[in-house]
Amino acid sequence: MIDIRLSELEGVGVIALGGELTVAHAQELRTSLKEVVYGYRSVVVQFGDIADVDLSCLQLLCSAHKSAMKQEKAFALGEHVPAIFAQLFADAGFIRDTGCRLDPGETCLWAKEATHG
Amino acid sequence: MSDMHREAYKEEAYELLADLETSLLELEQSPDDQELVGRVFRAMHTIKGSGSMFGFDDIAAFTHEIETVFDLVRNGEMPVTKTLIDLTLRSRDCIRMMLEEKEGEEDLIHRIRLAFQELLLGTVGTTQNETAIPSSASSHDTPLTYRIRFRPNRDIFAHGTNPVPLLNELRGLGTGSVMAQLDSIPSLEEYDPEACYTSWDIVLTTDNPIDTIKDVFIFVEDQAELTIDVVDEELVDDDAHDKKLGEILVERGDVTGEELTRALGEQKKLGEILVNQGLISPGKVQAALLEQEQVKKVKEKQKQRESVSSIRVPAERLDKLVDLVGELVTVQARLTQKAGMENDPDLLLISEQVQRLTEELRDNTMSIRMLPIGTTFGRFKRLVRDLSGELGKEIELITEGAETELDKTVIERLNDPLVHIIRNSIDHGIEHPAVREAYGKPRTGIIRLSAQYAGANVLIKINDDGFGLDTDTIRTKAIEKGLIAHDAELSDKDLFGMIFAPGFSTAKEITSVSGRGVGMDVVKKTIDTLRGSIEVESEKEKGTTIILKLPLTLAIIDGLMVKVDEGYYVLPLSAVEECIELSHEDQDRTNGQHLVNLRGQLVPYIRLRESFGIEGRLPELEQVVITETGGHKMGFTVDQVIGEHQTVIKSLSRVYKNVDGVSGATIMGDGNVALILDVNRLAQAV
Repeated sequence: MIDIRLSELEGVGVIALGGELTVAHAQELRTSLKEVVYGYRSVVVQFGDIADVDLSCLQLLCSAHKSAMKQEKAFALGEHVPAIFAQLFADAGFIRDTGCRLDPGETCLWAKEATHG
Repeated sequence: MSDMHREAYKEEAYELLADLETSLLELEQSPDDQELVGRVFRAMHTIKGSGSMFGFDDIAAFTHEIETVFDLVRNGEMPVTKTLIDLTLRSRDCIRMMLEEKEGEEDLIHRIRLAFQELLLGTVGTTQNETAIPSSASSHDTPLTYRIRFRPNRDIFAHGTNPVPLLNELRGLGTGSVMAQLDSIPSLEEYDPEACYTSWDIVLTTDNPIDTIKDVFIFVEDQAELTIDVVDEELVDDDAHDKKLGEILVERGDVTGEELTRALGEQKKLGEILVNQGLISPGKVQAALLEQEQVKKVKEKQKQRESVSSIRVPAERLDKLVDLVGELVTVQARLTQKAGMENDPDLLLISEQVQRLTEELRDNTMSIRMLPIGTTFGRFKRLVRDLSGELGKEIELITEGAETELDKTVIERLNDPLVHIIRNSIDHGIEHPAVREAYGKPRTGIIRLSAQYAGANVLIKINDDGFGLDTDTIRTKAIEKGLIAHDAELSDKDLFGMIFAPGFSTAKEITSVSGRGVGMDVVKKTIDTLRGSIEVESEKEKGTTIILKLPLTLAIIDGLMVKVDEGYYVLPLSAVEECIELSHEDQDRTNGQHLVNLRGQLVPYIRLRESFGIEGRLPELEQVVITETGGHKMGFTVDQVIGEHQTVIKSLSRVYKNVDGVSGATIMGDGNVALILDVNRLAQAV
């Protein structure tokens, strides 16, 4: 089961994710991401206890980031990135030096700067 | 062209031919191995190119045809077949003959050229009776770098497939980088939650064959696009890359390195330009950069390996070095002796330092002369392949311990004995396939050639799973030849020892391979001169094992120094068992016979004083050095046992070459000469 909680903190949309972040719940995650990306100028993703995570979740976060960029909004991962999540995006070869063409401000979720401090 | 250059070419060509033979035999086992095809091609290419440069036009012309054929093989336009391997192996022999400038082989060369031309025309090949050799997975000697593009279909998740574990499996095969391409991921509006939008660019450096990489994707091949290309195929030859303008300007001194870096800093990088123009995504640029970096790393590693791996030194220089170190050891012994006598603390200190350095230098020099025995093993694969084919037998040669190192002289002189033994195993040992089947054995016989360290010696075992030695036949033959009496009772071990007698052969017919009885006695003699020993173990219908025990080096031995009258002698310590005393009373008890009682066992002895005709008075108490050779004990009576002595062996001049019982000499610390005794020969002379 996926655990998604939306909230607002000083005008920033916060989406808290936990549970099973897998393709089986991708539709649900997409709906929530749309809601938060279109509802706020800035969005932060926070992670709770993740039971499982797969490639579909990485793709969806990437898609949400692209959507935010197109609307000139901010979209970022929270400070705490669980090991299971970090391991997955490293294994999947997501880590990169620079972001995509939609990312002039270099806020790519997978850029070395962002992911490794 | 000077002789020196021609000689240098020949030397290189011999090495290439040895490598070529090994590569061809390996290629026969792994016909799909592109690295091996590349090695054969490059060897031919170098032999041809250098041959033409150094005036070996015949070799260049001959090799051209073969090179052309292997170019086709390299491009996948011609398969590796048994005919091709056979022809190329014969060509390799022809090139060797041309190098040795042997005449009278023109006809053979002509026939081989014709055969290659036919291969090129496609009249011989896989079309009629022959099929390409089936492939088998194998590893490359040198790793290759692959560019892998993996693009899963959008619906791959629907099949329950998770691509990430495949990426991890790839990582396990070697080194490199994995770069996910995320350009296809749409914004949330267009996003299909069940679709896979990611593809991957992977750079992998691995010594695994391409099939192993393909195997990783075997379960997703219908659900993805996959391309695998070799990135650095030409890495070995690719010494000179096209220089960039900046590099040339710096080399010419027109700009300094710093100026160049500064100027380059002001312009945008190609990747940036392409991204800005919207021609490419940053992810693609980064994947390409990762590939560039990986190839660079591999190249650097390879260059490093090549530059530090070896230098070529003529063997004579090494021999000279060993000689000089031998002299130094002698002088150092004199210095130690002198320092001990003078009792001067300063001199003693210097002497100890010199001793330590000399010992290190000696050990280092000896290690330079050591070669892996695998250099010899490699040649036998061809021997087994050719001879078994000739005799209609199926034989596999398995080698073990090829990395075991032995003195180069030992290795060189070991070749002929090993050839004799292996030929015997092929001819008399291993049975024909039908006979083996009748005995319930596999059709293919195994010859196992192994080397391993055993203290200061190396044991080389040649084992076959053939018919084994027939003790009854050996006994009959030995009686026939008058080697043993009719009623002699001999152990199996002693009977097996008979096969080393000159002219002894149990073969019912003489073949081109063996059976003339001129082999095994020569083997024994050679092993004796190498100060080694030979043993035979055999079990009827199970097989035979011949064990050669050889010293690691011939240049220095550990010896036991003894004294007879005023003369010094050295016995190889490896043969010495113990030393006992011999009084006049002991001699009286054996009625003057040269026998000594060793804990109840009577052991014969030789009095060196008598053997070498030394006059003078016998001491009250003599010393008997008990040795063991060929399973028998033999004593050597001397006046005094001095002690262990590390002996640098000097050969005796030709004047002494017929003196039996002496294998060399050594110079002692005080400048005196001590003779090194050949215990085997002295014992045999009794």
